[in-house]
Amino acid sequence: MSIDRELLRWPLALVLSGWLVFMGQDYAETIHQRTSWIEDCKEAARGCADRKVFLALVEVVELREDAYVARKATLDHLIYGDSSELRPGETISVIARFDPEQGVLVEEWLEHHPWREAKEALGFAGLGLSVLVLLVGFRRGPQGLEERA
Amino acid sequence: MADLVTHIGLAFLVKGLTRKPHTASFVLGNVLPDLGGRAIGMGLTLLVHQGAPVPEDLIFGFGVLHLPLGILALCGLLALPFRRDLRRSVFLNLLGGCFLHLALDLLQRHTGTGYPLLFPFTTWHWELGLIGSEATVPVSVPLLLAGAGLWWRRVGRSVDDQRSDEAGRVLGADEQG
Repeated sequence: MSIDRELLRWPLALVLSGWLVFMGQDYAETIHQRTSWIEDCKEAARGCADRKVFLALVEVVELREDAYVARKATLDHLIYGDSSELRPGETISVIARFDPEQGVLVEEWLEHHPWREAKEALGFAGLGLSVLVLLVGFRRGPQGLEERA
Repeated sequence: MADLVTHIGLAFLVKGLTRKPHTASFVLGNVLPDLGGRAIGMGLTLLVHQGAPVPEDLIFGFGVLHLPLGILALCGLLALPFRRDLRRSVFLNLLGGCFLHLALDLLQRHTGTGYPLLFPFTTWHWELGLIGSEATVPVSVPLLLAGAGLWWRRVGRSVDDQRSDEAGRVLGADEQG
C-alpha cells in the first residue's frame, strides 16, 4: 500500500508547529530567568553588590534630576546617573551596577543611539516593501502557491 | 538586527549578482527573522504598555523565529503550501535568505548580548561585534536602489519579457480559437 506523499504534509506541519511552540516556550522561560535576577536584586541590592546589568537598546521613558527610567520590553529600570543629556523616547544602551550602599542601579557606561529613529522609519518602509513582495511575488495556483519570479 | 531596507536591498543584490530564480522567496527569507522574531514581539509589547493583558511568554516566545533552529522550522512550514515541484526550491531560498539575514545581523555589536545561535541546546550567545546596531542606516537606501536596479537589469527584465511572451501566446491562441 502506497501513501500519498502529499498527505504527509499535514503531520509534518504539525511536527514543525509543535517544535516552534516548544522552542518558543523554552526561549520565553530563558529570557524570564535572564531578567528575573535583576528584579530580585532590586528587592535586596546588598546581596548583589557590584553585579552588572547590561541593557542594550532600551528606551528612556522618564527623567529625574539624578536618575532616569529605562524600559526594556515590559520591564522598567530606575538607573541613577546623569540625565541632563537624555530625552524621553530616546534609545540608549547602558551598563549599570548594583550599589550595595544605596541599594540601587548606578550607571557605569552609556551609549546614545542617535540613528535609532531613522532605523525605525526604515523598519516601517521595509515592512511595506515586504508586503509588496508578498503581493507581487506570489500567487495562488490550482496545485498550491506559486512564485512569479 | 540591521534595518529591513538593508536586508531587502542585500537580497536583491545577491539575486542580481547570481542571476538565480526564486527572488520572491529569497527576499521574503531575508525579512522573515525580523517580521516573525521581532515585529510581533514589539507589537505585543506596545499592547502591554497600553494595558492589554498579553502573556510574557507570548511576547518573548516569538524570538525563536530569529534563531537558526526556529528559522529552519518556520521555512519548512512556509514551504509546505507551495506547489509540489516548487517546494524544495522555495524552502532553500527562504532558508538561504534567513541565513543571509542572520549573517548580516551577526556583524553587529550589542551591549552585553549576542545571538544564542545554538538554542535550545545551549544559551551561549555570540556576535562578531564589527559594526554598531545602526551602522547600516546610512547605506540602506543606496543599497536597495543598487540591488533592485542590478536585479532588474539582469533578472527582472527577462522575467517580465517572459511574461509578455506568455501573455502574447495566450492572446494568439485565443485569437486562433
